[in-house]
Amino acid sequence: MTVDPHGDGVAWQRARRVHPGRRGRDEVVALDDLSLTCPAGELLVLLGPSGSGKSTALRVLAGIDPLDGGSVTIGGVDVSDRPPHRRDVAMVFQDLALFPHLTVAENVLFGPSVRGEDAGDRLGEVAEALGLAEVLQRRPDQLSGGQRQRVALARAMVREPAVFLLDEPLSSLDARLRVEAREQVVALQRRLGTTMVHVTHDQVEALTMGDRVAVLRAGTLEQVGTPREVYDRPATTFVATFVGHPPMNLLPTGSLGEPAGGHATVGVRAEDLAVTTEGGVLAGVVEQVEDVGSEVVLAVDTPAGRVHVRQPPRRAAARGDRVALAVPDPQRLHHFDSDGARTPS
Amino acid sequence: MSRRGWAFLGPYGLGVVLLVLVPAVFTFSYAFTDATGLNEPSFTGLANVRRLGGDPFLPASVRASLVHVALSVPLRMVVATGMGLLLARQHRGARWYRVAVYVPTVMPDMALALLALWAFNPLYGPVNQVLGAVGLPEPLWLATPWGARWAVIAMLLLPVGEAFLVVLAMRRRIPPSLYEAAALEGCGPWGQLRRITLPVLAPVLVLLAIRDVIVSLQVNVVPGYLLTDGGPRNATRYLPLYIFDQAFEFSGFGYAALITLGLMVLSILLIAVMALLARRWGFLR
Repeated sequence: MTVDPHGDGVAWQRARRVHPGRRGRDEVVALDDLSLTCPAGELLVLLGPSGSGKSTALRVLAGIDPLDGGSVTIGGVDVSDRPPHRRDVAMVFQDLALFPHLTVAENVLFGPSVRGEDAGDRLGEVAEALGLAEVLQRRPDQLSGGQRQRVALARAMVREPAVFLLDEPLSSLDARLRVEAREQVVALQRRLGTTMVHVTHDQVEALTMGDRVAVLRAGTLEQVGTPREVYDRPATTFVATFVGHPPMNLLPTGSLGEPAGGHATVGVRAEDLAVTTEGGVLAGVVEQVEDVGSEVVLAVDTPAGRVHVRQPPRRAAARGDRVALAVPDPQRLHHFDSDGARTPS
Repeated sequence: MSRRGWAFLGPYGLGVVLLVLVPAVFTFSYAFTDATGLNEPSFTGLANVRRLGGDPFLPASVRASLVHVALSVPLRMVVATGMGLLLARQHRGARWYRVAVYVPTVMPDMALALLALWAFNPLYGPVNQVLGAVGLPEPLWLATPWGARWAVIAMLLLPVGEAFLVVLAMRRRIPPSLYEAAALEGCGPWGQLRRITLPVLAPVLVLLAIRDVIVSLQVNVVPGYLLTDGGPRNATRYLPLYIFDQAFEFSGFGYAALITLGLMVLSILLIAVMALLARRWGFLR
């Protein structure tokens, strides 16, 4: 299957998946009529906490988990009833799923060898692209974490699928390697132009990697949009607090000097608050100072609740200071109704 | 090791010394005497070794043991591995099947042998009744050499609980994602067994097979004694049984000790060959 940049990528249509309850446990609705589309050539990130259904969404698309309702399409074709290997997907698993008894080369060529294809020249290309040429004859237990992760990527790449599915493959890497791997995956996707669905619980990973980010919660879609949209215009209080660090400050309506009414909650990002000497809409005491070098996040206890404020480094307030907070740009306030849904401001 | 460590090791170490090392030293020294178990043993040099060379019954016994190991070990491995893989999954009620597979292992050999004696009775035993019912020939089992060999082998297919348990546990340690990754590449159940399960388990299976060779060279003494008493025509007079006969029936402690050493050498040779082959064929990583 070749990639048509104007064609369909992948889509879930009212996809439903219920994990049967076993040994007296209740059944769990992992996917609750999820509808979501990822255009061809896009890198879509599924973001959500554990239990949000993001991995299940990937697994029903791959055909590893069955659907209990709805359908999934790949390249515009309904593949709901096809076995996994007839869906033309390549998947990278959270634990990478490298075969421990096979060398790197044998791992990468596992698929072609099952199908009786000769992919020797592809192996060289892929190994070169991912810097694995030196370790082709090693076994997975002789590799570093980063190398193992690249072997898993190589195994997915070698088959030139219609879509790449990545199920938190970076979560086992340490922080520095993870940043590197992140860039590598994005560069790879840009170069190949293949549709990619990447699952993560890490909002930084989601924002930095995704063309679009879909935020999932309890098997349903909360919001889908570009990272900027999701960050700047969160559709729900859940998205507002799950995306961004520190989470968006959510206060009872009227707390920030805005006209009350029409909404239940007002939200403001930590960087959209300013510490001021005079006036201000909210006063409080600095309870905690989190200095990460490039910036300082203050946790301020106010009558309306705890509020996080992002400050430039080296001129932030100290713990115990009384500070007044202002909202320099009222446009940067977010309003949510009592159900947590965004309302027009 | 800490003092407490040694203290924990103490009872086991004592057992090894008293029950294994000391008897081993006695066996080694008895092997070159005329000990009968009743006399004051006196050193006879290589007299026992010369007797071993001319013993007309020994080759039949070695052959009985080797035939048994050659047939029993592969079959026991197939049963233990098959059951372990089949019952590793969390099917409904699988735990009761697991118990059922393990039960014969905790049954005394005596009980199993008596059961087998009944089961293989040519007239009223259930084995022949089943064979007859489906129109298959009904052999005389314990009355013919090969029938007796197969009866012993069949009986020893039941107590395979240890290997079964090890395979079961090791199979559960293989992450499901390996099978999911294989399924995505179009690798079906047989392919997964051949390309993933068996190769991943290979080192364990080799270890279990080596252990089973050692066990099989020794455990057939009870069925050999109770089921067939070595017969017919010495077809089941396995080495341990022959050693028992020599030591206790004929009061030939010295000579029996020498055959015991021979059994040990045979075990070591078989294990060495297996280990070498396993290494050459890449089953051991």
